[in-house]
This record gives sequence, structure tokens and C-alpha cells, in this order.
Amino acid sequence: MFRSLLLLPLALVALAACSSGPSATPNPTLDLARHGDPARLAEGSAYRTLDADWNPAGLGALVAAAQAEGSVRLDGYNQDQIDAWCAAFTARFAIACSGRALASFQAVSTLTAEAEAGRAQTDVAYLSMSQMAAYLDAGLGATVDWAALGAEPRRAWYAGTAGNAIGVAQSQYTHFANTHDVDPADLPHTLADWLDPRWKGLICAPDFLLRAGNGFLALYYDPQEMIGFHRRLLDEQDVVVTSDCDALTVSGERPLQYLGYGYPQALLGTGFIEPFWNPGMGVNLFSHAVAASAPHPNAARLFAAWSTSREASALSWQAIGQGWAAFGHGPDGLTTGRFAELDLVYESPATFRERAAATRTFQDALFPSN
Amino acid sequence: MQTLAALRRALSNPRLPALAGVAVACWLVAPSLLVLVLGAFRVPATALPFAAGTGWGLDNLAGLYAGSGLWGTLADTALFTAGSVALGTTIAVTLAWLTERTDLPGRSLVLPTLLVPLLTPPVAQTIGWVLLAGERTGLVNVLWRAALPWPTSTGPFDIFTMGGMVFVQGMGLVTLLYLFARAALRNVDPALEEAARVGGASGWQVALRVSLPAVRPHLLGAMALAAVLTVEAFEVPLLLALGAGADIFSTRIYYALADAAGGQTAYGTVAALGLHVLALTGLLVWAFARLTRQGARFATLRAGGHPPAPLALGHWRWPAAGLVGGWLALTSLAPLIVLAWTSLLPQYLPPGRDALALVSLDQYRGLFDDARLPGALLNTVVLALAAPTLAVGVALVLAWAVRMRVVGRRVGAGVDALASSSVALPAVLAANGLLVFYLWLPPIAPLAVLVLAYAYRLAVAYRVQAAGLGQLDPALGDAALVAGAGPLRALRSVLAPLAAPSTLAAWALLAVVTVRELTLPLVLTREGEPLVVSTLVWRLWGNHTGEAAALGLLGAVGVLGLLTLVGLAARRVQR
Repeated sequence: MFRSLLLLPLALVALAACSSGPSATPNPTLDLARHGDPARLAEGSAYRTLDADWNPAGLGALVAAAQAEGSVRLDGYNQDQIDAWCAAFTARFAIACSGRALASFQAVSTLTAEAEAGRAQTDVAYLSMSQMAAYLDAGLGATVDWAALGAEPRRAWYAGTAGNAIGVAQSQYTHFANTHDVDPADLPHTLADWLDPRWKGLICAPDFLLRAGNGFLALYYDPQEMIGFHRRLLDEQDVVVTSDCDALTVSGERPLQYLGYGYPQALLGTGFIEPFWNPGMGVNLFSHAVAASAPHPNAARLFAAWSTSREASALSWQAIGQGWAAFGHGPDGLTTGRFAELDLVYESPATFRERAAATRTFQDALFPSN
Repeated sequence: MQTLAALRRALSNPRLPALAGVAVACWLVAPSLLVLVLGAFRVPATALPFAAGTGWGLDNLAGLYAGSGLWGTLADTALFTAGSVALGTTIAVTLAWLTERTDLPGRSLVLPTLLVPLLTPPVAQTIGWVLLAGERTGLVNVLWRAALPWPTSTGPFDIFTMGGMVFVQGMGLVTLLYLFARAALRNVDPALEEAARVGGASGWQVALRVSLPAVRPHLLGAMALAAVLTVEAFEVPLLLALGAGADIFSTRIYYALADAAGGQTAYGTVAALGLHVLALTGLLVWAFARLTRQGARFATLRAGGHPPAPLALGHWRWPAAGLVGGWLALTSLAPLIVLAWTSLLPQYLPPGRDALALVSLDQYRGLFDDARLPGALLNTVVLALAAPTLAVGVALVLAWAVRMRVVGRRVGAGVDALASSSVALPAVLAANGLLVFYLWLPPIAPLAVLVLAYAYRLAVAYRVQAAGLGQLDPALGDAALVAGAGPLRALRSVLAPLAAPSTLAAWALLAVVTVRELTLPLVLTREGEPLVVSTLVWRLWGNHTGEAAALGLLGAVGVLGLLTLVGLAARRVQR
């Protein structure tokens, strides 16, 4: 019996190897025509033109009240960005500032759970639009008169429930190519191009962004077509979906990264990784909201208003490659308007709920948890 | 005066420390189990289990059964687990037999080399495998293809397959399984093997018909434990399973935790999935305990203490040494070398002229300039000292209470189950349960929460201590009590010193696990404070890969220093 046990591994490994190949799937025709209303999808591009800097005139009382509170606490996604903002804010206003980077997928859960447990310490929350909407829907955001705080009022938005938020940075989904392995002239210019057999075995996709980014694509194209397209992409092109795609792109193991994100210096600084885009990819709007139960409400309002300044945008852009595009802090396409030719989908109050719903439909279809 | 006498009488009651041990064990283990079991029946799924507006219901389980592919998940999980354990066992048994029963050159180097993977963080190790065995640019594939007479641009190995997952996970199990196999072979009476040889059996026949059957119960027990570790594995699935198209429990739990639509964590779905994982791992732990007991019945102690004469490998001696050496270099050292190479670059780049031009110590400079580093190091040291000490202390008391029959047989079985239960609880589920539990308690210092959370791995310490005390005669404790020593003094002065080697081993094992632990701090601190080395590595990995590798390497050096200190202490204890 024991000897047969020793033979088991060979049989199992052979079985495992056999089971890992891509499944044969039918090859239905894809309809990748534009589906969504162009004006509605481009509504968020208006943020690119709002270039009024923060105006602190008349905020002496607020500054004094904030200084009396002594500190402010920020919760966001990236510690480098938080640290850069905090250092500058403290230097300018002599108010202690600290912050915490939350895993993107846990951010809203964490903030909600802490609030429900009466343990919230957040003064200001920095979230993407769909997550901010969930935060506001939970009643966790305060309603702030942003114009009175010297911030451009057209940056403010409501989720339709209590509280409001103000746009602070824009950032876009981005494909990346390792130009050592892929000629920039050959890059897939449309989604359909990704199904070209020559890219088989060359693509990786970051799993969270693949799911989240599809919310935008599903607004631009037909949502069901997107599910079909991605099923084919995964099955036919041997796409590696993983939590760490960058190492594969840089090493050339998978020289094409599908639905990466932003303007990351770690990749672009290598000198041989090129960003590129396809129509329908998304541009996020990241916003600040003052917590309804902020322990330091004045410092929180001051910080959130200051974060709309050119200075704060530049700091964020330098720290993590995300800034306010209208100030020139963004990738070339976003700041010069070149993306307009590409027809990207700009996140806006008109579309973010639909985007979240599309993402959920997509992930339930391709990556179910139950 | 009477009160003092009553207090002294109470303190001399041997059940008192046992009771205290049980209470602390309950605090460490029960919250996760309760949140998991109860959370599966609390609805809606996206609310905290006992938040306002939640209620009891079967929706979470119903959703799981109504959804697609639960059987597929079970099948893939079973394949991944069985394949990994079988592969790891085959390699471990072969290595153990070669080092314990043959004249393989350099066999004393096998164990230290097998310990090397313990030095590196699991995430970095898995990424190291990706870079080694990637289909296109993996170093192993590149070298293999260079040796082929015909040109080809990919393969032969592809890490992003079920086979690749089985390989990486299987390699991760070899050290543990080797330690079990080696210990089991050492406990086989050499007279049995000598008798078989005198009877005319060849070396192979002795190995297959005498040695291996003798260690079978121990090995099967170790395989059950390895299966538990594979079912709860998170790093390998997170990096490889999605690429391999594998649908296993860990990835399902990850999707429930990580909603890309911007919504809240589906705590109920996580708990419902976790209930199934718990059933599976509980079954495996039961099998482990049962097989270990069987193994103890078959245990044979060496007469005279002389080791069996090693089997001469003859002309196979050096080829076998080359094969084992090459294998160990590839599986144990190569991932560490990849980490060291990456620490000299801003990002991982395959070796070549482009990469050499970028080689520098800048990543180390950047790391040492990082203001977060001192705090992360200090927190990690505090955790590595405090959490294992707490877990080992409680485990020692419980193992003593059970072994020395301080509590009755039935209560002892209950204590044994309680102390062993956490091994069946995957870290990601334990972390989720602890998160919910500590959120509902009045605020405790975050570092203290981490110490209590890390100590949930009480079962590891308990099983090692129980095995150590199992070798002692219960009469020793009785003799100390008869001689007038109180129960605590008997434990402190007689039993604890005798059990010191196993206590030290358990402490070292937990300290290494603590330094490498990622899941617990990632879920509990949500990447915020207090920062520890593993979360800093994780945070740096995306944008500062070279610095992350440098920190991973420093962590490895730290673990090496810790193991060296423990080794020195063990020698002193043995003297």
C-alpha cells in the first residue's frame, strides 16, 4: 500500500500538468462597437479644465481653529502620497498630520467597520469615486461648503445621499509594454487587437485592476460583450492574472500588461516600459471627504481644502504619479487632451454607480466568490 | 491569616495553573472560531456579524451552494493539496533516507540547506520562483533551452499552471516533511534493519520493506499536517492560481475579501467559505492526531544507541550527491539569490548588460533612509519575542496538565482539542475573525493586539511540547508533588527543564513564523500602524521592488541570527 502511495505523486503531478491547459472554447464573433452615450461618458473629462487654484483668503479663523485642534488624520491608499501631503501640510500650518494607507479592496470595509464599532479616528478619507460613494452612502461623510473654503466648487460632488466630496486627483488605467520584447509600432491599438494570436503567452493582468477596470470598459462597450471578450482573452491568449504583474512585465516574462494603472515611476523609470491606451479605458477621480465624526473637524476641512491646491497636486504627482490634470500634473495624454482622441471613460457623478454595478457583474461572471 | 492560608491552599491546587492556561488559550483561539462559525449564519453578508441591522439566516450558505462551481473549487483544492503533499513527501522521504541510511557525501549539509527557505518571506519566495521558472524568461528555462539542440522560445516549464502551483507549494513543504521523516527514521530500531540484511535482503529491499513501513504512521501524520498547511496557503494561490486558472478555496476567499466594485467585504461569504475549509482542515487534523498516536504505538527505541551501518551507494555515491546538491541549490538557494540580485536593482531585471549597468547599493541606502524602517524593525523584534513566549508558555502549561493528568481524561481530551484547534484555522480566516473581535472590544494597544493575534498559533507550540513531555514519565511530576513541591514548582523545577529542548524548538519555530507572517498584520492593521517588516516588504514591493528585496534579505539575515542564537541556547540546554 505504501509503495502505491509513493507512486501517487507521479500520477497526480501528471494529472495536474494535464489539467492546466487552456480550455477549448468556441470562437464567437465579438461586437466591440461603441455602446455608451459619448456625452455622458465624457462628462468627467470636464475636470481637466478646472484649473482654479485653492484660494485661502479669509480662512484665518479656520486656520486658527484647526491649529487649536492640533492634528489631523488622513486615511488613503498610498503611504508615499500621505507622507508627502502630511509633511507639507504640517510645515505650512504647524498642525501635526499623520495618515494610514489602506489596501484598496479593504478601504471602505475598514472605515465602515471602525465607524460601526465606534472606533473611527479618520478626519479625512481619500477614496476613488465608487468607494467614496459607498463611504458617503454609509453616512460617514460630512457635508462641506467647499466654495467657502476657497476650493473650486465644481470639483465637489454628491453621491445623492448624505455628505459630499471634492475631487483631488485624476488617474487612468494604463496598458504597459516592455519595448525590449514588443515593438511600440505593433502595440494593440484596440481591444480586439489583444486577441491576435501573436500576443498569446505574452500578456499579464493585475487581478484587482482587471476586475475594477472592466467597470469602465462595460460602460463604453456592451457589458455582455465584455464578459465574452475577457473570457476569450483569458482562455485563448494564456493571460497570466496575478496580484503582482509588474515583475513579469519588467523581466519580459509577460511583456504586455493589460489594464495596469497610473503613471508608476517604478515601471516607467526603467526607460524601456511604455504606457499605452485603448478606447474605453477608465480615468478615476480620487476625492477627499471630511468624516462626519471627524475628531478634528476644522483641521480636516482645512486639509481637504488645501489638498485642492496646485502645491498639493504637485506633491501627489511627484510622490505617486497622481495629480490634478488641469494643473499639468498627469501623463501627457491626460494633461494635453490627447486622451480625447482615444475616447476614454472619465469617472463622474453620472456614471460611477453604473460602473460599480458593471464591475460586480463582471467579477461574478469570471471570478466568483460564491 | 486565614485568607492567606486559603490563598496558599488554592495556589497549591495543581488545577489552578491549568485553569489559567485554558482561559488564556480560549482568549487566543476562541474568538476566531466563534466569529467564523457564527458569522456564516449572520446576514446580510456585507455587514459585520453583530452590527446593527444584522440577523440570523442561511443566505450565506445558500448563496454558496446556489453559486457556480463549488464542486470545481473542491476538486481543484483537492488536486492542489494532494499533488503538493505527495510531491513534497516524495522528495523529503528520499532526502531523509539518503541522509540517514546511506553514505551520501556531504549529507550533514542537507538539513542546514533545507532551512534556508525559512529565511525568506513566502511572498518573495514565490516571486523568486516566478522569475526562475517563468515560461519565457525564467532562468531555469533559459538555461534548459540553451542546452537543447533545436531553437525554442518558451518552456519547458510554466509556473503559471496547476503543475507549477503544485511544484512551488510542494517545495515549500519539503523542510517540514523532511524533519518528520528524519526523526521517524532515527527512531526505527536498527536491529530490525540489521535482521533484514542478515536475512539476505538488499539495501533497497530493506528500505522499501522495513524502514518505510516502520515510519509509515508518522509519515502519514506529517502528510496530514502538510495538507492542512496547503489548504490554508495564501501566497502561492494569490500569485499563481489566477494565472493557472485554478479555482481553490484561498482564491474564493480572496475574492470575497477584495470586492473590486468598491463595496464592502462580504464577511458572511468569507465565513461560509471558511466553514467548509474548517471542516476540511479539522478532518485532516483529526487524521494527524490519530496517525501520530498510531505512530507512537509503533515507536521503537534504539537498543544501545548505535546508528545502523550506512548503506554503501557505491558508484551511485557521487552522482547522487550531485543530484541532491543541484536540487538543493535550485530549490533552497536560488530564490534567495534572486532576492539578493533584485536588492541591487531598482526593479527585477534578468541578468545581462542592461541590468549590470544598474547594479548598486542604492536600494539599501533608500531603505535605511526610510523613516518607517526603525519602527518596523522594533515592532517585529517585540512581536518575535512576545508572541512565541506567550504561546509557548500557555502550551507548556496545557501540555503539562494533560500529560501529568492534572485534569481528568475527558477534560484532558477537551483541553487537547482546544489547544490543537488553531492549526485547523487558516491565517486569513483567523485574521478576519480577530479583526471583528477586536473591533468590538474597547481599544487595546495595536501592538498588543498583534501579540495576541500572532499567539493564536498556539497549536504548533502545543503539539511540539506535548511530544516533548510525552517522552517523560508522569511519575516524575508525582514524585515532585510527593516531595512537597507545589504544582508550579514541580513544573518549573522538574518538568520544564527536562522539556527545555522541545520548548526551545517550539519557540524558535514560532519566532520564525512570526517574522515571516504577512496575512495577520495585513488584515488586522490594514497596512497601517503598527508596521512590521513583512508589511513593509509588501508595501514596498509594488513601487520600490529593490528596496523590498533588500529588506527581505535583511529579514533573512535577522532570522538566521535568531536561529543561531537558539542553536547556541539549545547546545547549552543539552549540556
